[in-house]
Amino acid sequence: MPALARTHEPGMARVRVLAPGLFTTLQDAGRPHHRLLGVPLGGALDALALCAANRLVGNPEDSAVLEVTGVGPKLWFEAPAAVAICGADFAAYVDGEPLPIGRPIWLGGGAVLELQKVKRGFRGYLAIRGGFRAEPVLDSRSALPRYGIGKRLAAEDEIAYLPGPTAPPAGFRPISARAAVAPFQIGGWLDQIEDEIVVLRVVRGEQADWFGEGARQAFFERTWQVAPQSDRMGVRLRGEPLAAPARQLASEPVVPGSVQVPQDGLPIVLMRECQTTGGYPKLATVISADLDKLAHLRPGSFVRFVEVSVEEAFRLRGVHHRLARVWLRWVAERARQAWGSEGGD
Amino acid sequence: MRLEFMGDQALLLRLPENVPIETGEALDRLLSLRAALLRELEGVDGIEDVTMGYRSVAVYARFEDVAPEDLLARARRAVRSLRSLAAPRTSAGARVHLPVVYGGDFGPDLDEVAERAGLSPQDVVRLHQEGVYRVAMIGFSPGFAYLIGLPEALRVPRRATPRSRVERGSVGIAGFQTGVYSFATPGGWQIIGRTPVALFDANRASPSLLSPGDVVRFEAVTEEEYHARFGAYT
Repeated sequence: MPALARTHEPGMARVRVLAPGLFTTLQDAGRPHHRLLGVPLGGALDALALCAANRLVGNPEDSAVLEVTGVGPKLWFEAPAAVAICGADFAAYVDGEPLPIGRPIWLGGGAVLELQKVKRGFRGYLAIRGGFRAEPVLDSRSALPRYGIGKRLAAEDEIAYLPGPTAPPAGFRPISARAAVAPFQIGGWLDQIEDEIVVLRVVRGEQADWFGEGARQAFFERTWQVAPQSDRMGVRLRGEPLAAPARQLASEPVVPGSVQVPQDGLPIVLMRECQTTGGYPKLATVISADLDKLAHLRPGSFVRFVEVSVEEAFRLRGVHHRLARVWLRWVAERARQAWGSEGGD
Repeated sequence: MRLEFMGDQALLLRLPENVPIETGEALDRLLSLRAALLRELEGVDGIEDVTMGYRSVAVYARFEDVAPEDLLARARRAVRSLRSLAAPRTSAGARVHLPVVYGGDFGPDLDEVAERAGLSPQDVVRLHQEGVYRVAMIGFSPGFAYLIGLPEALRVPRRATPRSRVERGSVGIAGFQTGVYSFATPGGWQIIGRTPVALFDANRASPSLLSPGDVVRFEAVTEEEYHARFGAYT
């Protein structure tokens, strides 16, 4: 198993895990070039939040961050650190004081950061200036514990990082003796996290015409609920089962967002860590502009699907990408100003 | 050949349903198609992977860097270039021998397979070793190779109830397919043996032992040999 951290590298400090939270792993942009050999894409499930958290601390967008789920970890920082939290709205505390998220955060040596229960959304991203250190495997630091790459964080684990500025930059507001936050907050992504029923836009799946008209209609008319067995590979839905086709499918490539319907008639929406091929018929595919929303579905969340054309999916992908670029440039610029001469790259 | 986008993330090229998988005809055509696609896509930005299924090839792309229409046009050219060839070229893959301990704790379903096939367990072991297999695709888990070429007498269905854990290296049978579990995972194939060889190791320069088109043979070994070679990468 590759090392989680190189804690003995000169000049490095350690973050120690006091409590691991529900499910916490290192993630970056994943492994997009090894699917032929069956290696899942993986990486942060909310790709935009990964980029934003990294930009808030002056990192390249794909640096390794901690992805936290539902209930976050409690972490002790050996030395000063420049950090930020994006994604889901966690109740965050530093040394017991409430901490706003979506901002550059300065932590002093000895600070204890705690992400308690999530208030909105499901997965959060903790970035640190310089990125958390771990050996890359197949060009990525994303953990894939199922296949022996990296690990799920446990109490007493330590991860190395490059120490941040020794004092908070000018203009930061103190939270405690060992923490201060920048005077601005970004929250654009929170608007994407819907509270009641999450609407996912889909195009026709590769086997859509294997399903009867009744099953296709029912898929769009019904409201589905996220089942507890969901994980980073797939969101399992429950509700009134669909009539699944009896035909056998020879295994073929799938994409994150593919909606598979196994024999039990209950759809599974594949996530970024899904296997590279599958043998279940696919009724629909979630468009890439809506993939980040999947990261914030939790057991019990309600989901509905609406159909768009492939042309519209590509158009929405373009719009989503351009808006994200503009927003991330703005985030990076605000962060650079906030950190001042300490602003990283 | 049918071309369709998978959502807005990939382009899938699919052979007609009447092209047989079991005989290797689909595999031959897909290997040629994949090679033609790689030629057409050389130097094109935004291409992430060109992968294979039993009856299809998928091109995963970053459509910020390559326009969908451009990818579609190149894929059509690749398909046309194949039609102009006299016959599909069978590329010679690597040849790999996998040592296997058959039966016992390592192959808990050997007796059931024998019974369903109407053979003795010894015959199952002999026939499985006589087969010359080809890697049709890799999927399910990293390095898990789906092998075609299973002798007809050994084609038995999956277990009625899948196991929640199949050990790494387990050699299984499911219908016309045989294969090796590259990781301990849940699984429903009939397990007749186990190989000590590591099918996948992320820290190797070439992490997957097998690639589509490779030729595989199985060879019975004793438990002592199994332990001596455990974790080897042939």
